[in-house]
Amino acid sequence: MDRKLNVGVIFGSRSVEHDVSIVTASQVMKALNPAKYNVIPIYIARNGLWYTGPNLTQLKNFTIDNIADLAGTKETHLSPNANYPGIITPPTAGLFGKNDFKALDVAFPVIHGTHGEDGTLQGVFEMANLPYVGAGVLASAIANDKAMTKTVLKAHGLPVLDKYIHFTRREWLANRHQILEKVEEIGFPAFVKPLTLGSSIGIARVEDRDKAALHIDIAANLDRQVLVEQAVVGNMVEINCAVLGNEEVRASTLEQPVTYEEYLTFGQKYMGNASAGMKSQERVIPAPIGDELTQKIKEAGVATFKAIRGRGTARIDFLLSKDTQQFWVNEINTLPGSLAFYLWEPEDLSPTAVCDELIQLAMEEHSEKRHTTYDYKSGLIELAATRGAKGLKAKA
Amino acid sequence: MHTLAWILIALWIVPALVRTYQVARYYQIEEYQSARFLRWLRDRRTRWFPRYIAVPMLIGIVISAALQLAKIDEPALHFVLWVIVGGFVSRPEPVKETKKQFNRTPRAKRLLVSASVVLAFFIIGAALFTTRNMDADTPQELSTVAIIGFGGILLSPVALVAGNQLMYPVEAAMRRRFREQARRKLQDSGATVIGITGSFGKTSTKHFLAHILGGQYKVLPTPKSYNTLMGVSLAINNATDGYDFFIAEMGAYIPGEIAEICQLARPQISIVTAVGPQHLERFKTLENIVKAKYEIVEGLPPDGCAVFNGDNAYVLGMAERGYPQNRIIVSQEGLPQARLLAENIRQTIDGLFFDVLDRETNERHPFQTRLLGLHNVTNILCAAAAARFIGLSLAEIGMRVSVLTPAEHRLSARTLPGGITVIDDSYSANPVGAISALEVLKLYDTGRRIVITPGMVELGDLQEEENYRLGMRLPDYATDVILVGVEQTRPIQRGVHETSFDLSRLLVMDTFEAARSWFQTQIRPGDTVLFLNDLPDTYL
Repeated sequence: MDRKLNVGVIFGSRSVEHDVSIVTASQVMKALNPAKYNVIPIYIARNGLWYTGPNLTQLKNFTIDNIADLAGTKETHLSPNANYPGIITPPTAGLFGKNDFKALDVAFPVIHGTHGEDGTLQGVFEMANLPYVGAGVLASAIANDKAMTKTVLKAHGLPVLDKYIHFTRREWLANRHQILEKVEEIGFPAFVKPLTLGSSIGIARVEDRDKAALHIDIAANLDRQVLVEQAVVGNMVEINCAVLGNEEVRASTLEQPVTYEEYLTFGQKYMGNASAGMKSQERVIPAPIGDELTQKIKEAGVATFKAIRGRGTARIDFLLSKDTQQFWVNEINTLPGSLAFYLWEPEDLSPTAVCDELIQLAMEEHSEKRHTTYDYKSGLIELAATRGAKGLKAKA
Repeated sequence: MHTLAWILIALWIVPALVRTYQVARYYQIEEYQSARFLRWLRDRRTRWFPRYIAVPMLIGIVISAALQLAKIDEPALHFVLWVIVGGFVSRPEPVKETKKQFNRTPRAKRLLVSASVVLAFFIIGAALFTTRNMDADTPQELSTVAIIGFGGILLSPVALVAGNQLMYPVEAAMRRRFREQARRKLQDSGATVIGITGSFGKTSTKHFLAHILGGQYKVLPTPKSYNTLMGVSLAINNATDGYDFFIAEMGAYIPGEIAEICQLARPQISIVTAVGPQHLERFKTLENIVKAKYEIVEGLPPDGCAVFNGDNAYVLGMAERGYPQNRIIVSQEGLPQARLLAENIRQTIDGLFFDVLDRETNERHPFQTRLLGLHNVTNILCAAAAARFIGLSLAEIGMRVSVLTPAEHRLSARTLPGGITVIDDSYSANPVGAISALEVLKLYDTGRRIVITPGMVELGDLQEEENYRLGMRLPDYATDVILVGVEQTRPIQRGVHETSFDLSRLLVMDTFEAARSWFQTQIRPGDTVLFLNDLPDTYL
């Protein structure tokens, strides 16, 4: 590589998984090879303000009350202008200060959940004509919506649990009793989940109608839509599989988190050891489920990724019944915690190598876009200008 | 030439100014109210005559007198003596626990300047006057000047009061402008204003109501516990975004204060959470408190709505006066007049569970929240009543209530990784809140249940009695009691002694530091600790 690439690592954001994102981002920034990349941390605070500055690479600096007080940290903006893919940092003081423009070669979003993993930020990158790591707008949006994930995967013949209902907050407030009756039809135990959040925040296993009502109330504060689905009973385990690639996709070693029975609460999932992030969770790698099943799940993982038109990476979480050997896709995380580094280590792929590959994939995906023509001279304007716009029927 | 005398005066102005600056903090804590500040000063000898001033002063006078008796009249020697003494009195004793920092507001700065000018004039003037017939730079003159200096140091709190008086017209004009700006801004915003008052529970109720309405509307609540005319103005003037609702906490130390805030804010909905002995020492009688709080109802337009906590007899009395037309009484005790009721209340370590019944529409809805403390049921009901008037359904309110968090510094429990549970209710306790916090403590049975408290304050004539009663009830809830402040907690000690409580488990400590270090060394996994009413600095 001729020159170092400017990699904008974007993290934080307006999401209940804000803090987890900071942990993952610090792991990514540590993994990025300094010989190849200039890391430019771009932190989106809880209130939606964007900041950049050299001290934002250090996890410990985020214990400060007001991030704007951190030395060298300035408010910044990502330009959506396709001719200026990069960040613009206005001067903080002085009569003669100038806007500082920092061109980015690639954006590396490391945000979990809303406003970052859901396609919204990806849309900004598309507008800016900026290469970016990971899934595009559509795949991000589908994976972010648990009901839409089921719909799409089902259409592709992939296994999903389909005894569920989902409804909006408004519907819940207006028709509480009817909805609770439908929940009872689904049967208990059931899972209540905010429709679009990636972590286990707001997710609860409920055993009866009252508990269901309580947790639907809570979930309805976290998301405008809530999903309730039947919990599969029996000897269940969760199996997670990461995938890597754009059109040629490969699957990682599988893991089995050991705490499925009690279902992961947010605390369990992320707080075991904050600095190590997802890595510290108790897990069995590789998952002890036999070669045949491992192979089947890996294939299903790759097919799932392709079904939603994933790019870069994702972690696909399966539920597996130990009794029947049946499995189902539970959810897809297009920007998984710790970027699932720990699932690639058994494949002899270090976090640094995973990041290298993700950036490589981002560049390839972007060059694909160059093959697409966006500019088409129609002659319409000339025609309209000569005849007067009135006589034309707009054919949009 | 009076050279040495002049130098001495100049030097001795320094410790006076240092002390002015140090004492200004307490003036600020007492909200620049001179009477309250002077009472604070008078209450303890060390406040108006601190040792760091007394000791050097006495030593200085004794040495000076001895030198003069021995006819050692060398001016330079006397000068050096007073300079040294001046050096000692320039180093004030370090302030103990600094809970409330001195806030260098523009007003505080203006006050410091005017107080300093007053003080300098006094010292220079008095020195000139008393020494007008004395010979230049004699020991008599130097010691006179030094004693005037002492006087200045001792009088520096008075200089603050005088400086405040001097600045009064300036401050008044600035306040008027500030309030007028707030009034106009609020009017222009077109927001609906909700006023909340009560001897306790108003900050929590405000916090809950802001959260409930925040699901659908833009809400501006007054921050923290800001509840004065200036605090309310500040909240309005600092707001940068538009808002649909302005929720103003209104506090009062004297009758008329809430009426003034109402004139500025013009509430359409008012909530009265409780009347209790809080700040009784400033109000003298509970009737005065009722009168002051009722101003928030009188401030409503005839088509406004008032929410009353019917479980409080005084507040119920306000509701019975019949103004305005729309009155919503709430109750968690099944009060027959109440419109909004909490029934089947259960409290576990997971939170509060209860049904809310709206008698007007005959709707019933299950509520649940992670909040602890039965008093919060009342706070939630008060907030819910206002939200009902605004038009929210019980289901909408219940949904928001399911994710309520405690207001800052209000009752909250958390279990630390080591298995120790800390219940924090460190903000200005009242008898109802204290029992409510103790009920929460009682939910924990995995180890010792420890209360750390300095008792309740600002309850005026009832303070001793209420603390005594608290002492009597502590053994019902706690296995260990740690009282902070030997003198302060005497009534609680008496109360505890009346019971059959194992006195080896009652500890009385001098300071919070001692209690904290006890906590750090003696606590065991499984224990639960309740910090009840952490005292502000003025009471230490």
